Amino acid sequence: MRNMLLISRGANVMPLALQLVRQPALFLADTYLKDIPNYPFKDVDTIFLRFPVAVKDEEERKQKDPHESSWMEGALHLPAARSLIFALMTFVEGERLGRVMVNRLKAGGHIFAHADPIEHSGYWDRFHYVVSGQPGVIFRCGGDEVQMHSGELWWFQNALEHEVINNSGVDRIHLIVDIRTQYVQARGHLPQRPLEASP
Amino acid sequence: MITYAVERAVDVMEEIKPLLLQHWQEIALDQDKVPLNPRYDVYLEYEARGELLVVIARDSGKIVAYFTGFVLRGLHYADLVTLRQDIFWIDPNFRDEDSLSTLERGMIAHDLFAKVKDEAIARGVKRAFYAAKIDHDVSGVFEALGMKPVETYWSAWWGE
Repeated sequence: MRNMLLISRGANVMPLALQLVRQPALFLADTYLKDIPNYPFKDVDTIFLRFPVAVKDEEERKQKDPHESSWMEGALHLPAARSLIFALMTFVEGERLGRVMVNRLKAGGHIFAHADPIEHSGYWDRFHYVVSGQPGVIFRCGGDEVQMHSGELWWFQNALEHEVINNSGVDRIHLIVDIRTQYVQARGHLPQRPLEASP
Repeated sequence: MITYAVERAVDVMEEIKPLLLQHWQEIALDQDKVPLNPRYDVYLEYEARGELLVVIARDSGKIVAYFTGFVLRGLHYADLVTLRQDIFWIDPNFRDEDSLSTLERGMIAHDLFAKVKDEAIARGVKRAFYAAKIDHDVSGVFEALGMKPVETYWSAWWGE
């Protein structure tokens, strides 16, 4: 298996799961992703914890760092996510925190095959905490196919085509965290150090 | 919707146990003399060595078919990785092939074994052995997979 990696099992996702089950309206507060026509996420409800702030116009878009995400209101209602997010940042020695979302794929739902844009997937590493995942959920990435279970933490290569089928009979809920890890020059070497000052 | 996935025995064992009883009641030999008593610990030992293949078919999370087999280097042929079927079972409610409306159900055997084959080949298997009981002959399934009969097992009861 080359495109997906099980990082750990046994993450304590129950505090977050409880906050989610007690606040179901959060999933319907912002249907931005779901409403995009012909987008793969029509069966997915999303809570945005961190996401790029919407821009007013093209001029603002050009000036903005496309990778900059800000904390959203969803994060205020799900404080249990913070310990998972920052534990992961430490574990992978993250240098920058990007998008953080909770995705709920309904039973019988399908995230249709797609590859995330390289501008994004080439910059960030994508991690998934499985808050609720029962047998019958199949996650395919490239030629790899796995079932992810509650409490597991996974990395996968979202630059490749991937899709999810939820045949488990219950919602599949993941905490998705984008983290930029160690930056290496495209040519495979580190940037040169500044020239030392002359004596 | 029916999906097929490789699963770990350690994860699925408790779910399968009641189905094993149903399976045993349907086809096992000498039921009046030999109670079902699987050595689950041995299955887990095989799994720990990477020598157990479990493929599960589910419908809305419920198991509707399973296959278990052993991926092993032959005792006589150390260079050859072989898949030897242990058991397979399809929920009786999903065996009907007569109606278009159950077409998906009719494909279960085909799709289950296709998944098994894909995974087995990925693990280096070059030869497979499947078994069909004389009294519950499913050899038609294996013929449809392009397999051919190669050996016959004989049995006798030597107990009291």
